[in-house]
Amino acid sequence: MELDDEQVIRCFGPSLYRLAYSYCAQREDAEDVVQEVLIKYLRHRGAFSSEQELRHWLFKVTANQCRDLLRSAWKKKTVPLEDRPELTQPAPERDLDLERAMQALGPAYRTVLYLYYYEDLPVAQVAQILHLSQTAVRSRLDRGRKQLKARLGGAPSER
Amino acid sequence: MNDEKQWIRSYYDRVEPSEEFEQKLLALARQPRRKAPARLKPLAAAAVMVLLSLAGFGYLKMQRPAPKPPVEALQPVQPAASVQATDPLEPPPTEPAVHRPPQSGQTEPAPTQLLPTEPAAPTDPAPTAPTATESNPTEAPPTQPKPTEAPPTEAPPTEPSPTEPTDSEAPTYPTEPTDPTVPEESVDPTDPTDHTEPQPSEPVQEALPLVAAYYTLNGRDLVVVTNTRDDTETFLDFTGLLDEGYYRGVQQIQGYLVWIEIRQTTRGEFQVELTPYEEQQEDTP
Repeated sequence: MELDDEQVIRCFGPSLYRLAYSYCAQREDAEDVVQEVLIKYLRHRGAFSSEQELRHWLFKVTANQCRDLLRSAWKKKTVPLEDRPELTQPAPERDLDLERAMQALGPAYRTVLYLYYYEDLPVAQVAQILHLSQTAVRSRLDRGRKQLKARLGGAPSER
Repeated sequence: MNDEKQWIRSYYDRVEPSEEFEQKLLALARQPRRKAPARLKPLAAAAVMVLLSLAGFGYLKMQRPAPKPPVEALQPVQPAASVQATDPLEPPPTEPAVHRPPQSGQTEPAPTQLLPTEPAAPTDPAPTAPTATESNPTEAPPTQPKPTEAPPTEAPPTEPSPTEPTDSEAPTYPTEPTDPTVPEESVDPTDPTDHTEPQPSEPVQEALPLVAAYYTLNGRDLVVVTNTRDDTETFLDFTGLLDEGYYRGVQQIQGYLVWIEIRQTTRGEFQVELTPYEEQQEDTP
């Protein structure tokens, strides 16, 4: 693998952050998760033969880290609305609807949709990363799409 | 399908880590590189730890005593007189811890002296040690009991003297040459404050003229067995065998094959009881 550490961070950092944000729905938590994942990467660097392998490992570790975070008691506390700038800051109506629709999906659907649609990962790889069966991934994809469509209704091209 | 994909892409396009966070991550990535030699430190530390642990394991393996030595493996310890001779500067009369039944220098037979000095035997409650912890009697009897190495011909010293020459048969006992607190021959048996005072047991029967007493010396659990006929003494070291407060096994002492049973009372004292082997064996289930 030819990427050095900085390139790995620049290349995969945003993707890991988005995946963590899909889980946590909070910037601070997502940042914490990504930082932990990259620290783990720095400890295990050199053990990856290809970028694809590294990418898969990073996604998997990020998903595990997010699950651990959500399971922790520290996370099980309410978050005041003021701490959610993406919900309180003024934004176009359409974007706010999209935000709310995505937030309403829940992390189980958001992560599947993100990995499948945004990262263009195949169902099998999504299933591996999230420790799910491929059937479960397809089911979540289908339900997530339907819920998103039901909440947003009109075509996105209007935006 | 494309609608959802476009929604999701538009949503996540705006989800980006802040510039500050990216710089933080980049600094994190640069940090180990600046300290390249530091990468070797954990490896070196791990190697040292492995070596130390191996060495420590070997040391412990060497130092670890046998889990439960058989009864025949018990080594008689050095009699007090011979040890005393190695340290002539020790003042003998001030030594309070004589942990053996008084017998030396007395013209009267030893049992008549031992009986009055037995403080705990009649009043002690039942042994606290559970019977389940008893050693298996079937494992205890030695196939070849080692004969007692106490010198039968040696006359007991009439006076405890630090200058007394070492007994010629002393090498038969494991020596403790550096121990300055070895009990002497002369003891004040009436000293009630001595917590290490031996607790001699009565002779079990007429056919067994042996009296055993327990005492501690420098953290070692010792038992002295005295033949009431000729005052021959045999010292046994039970260190490490009384951790559970109970010991029972067969030992051949001065030609007598006996069960030796050591139990700890609720007051923390150890009592020693000798029983002829044949008789006890019948009672043993």
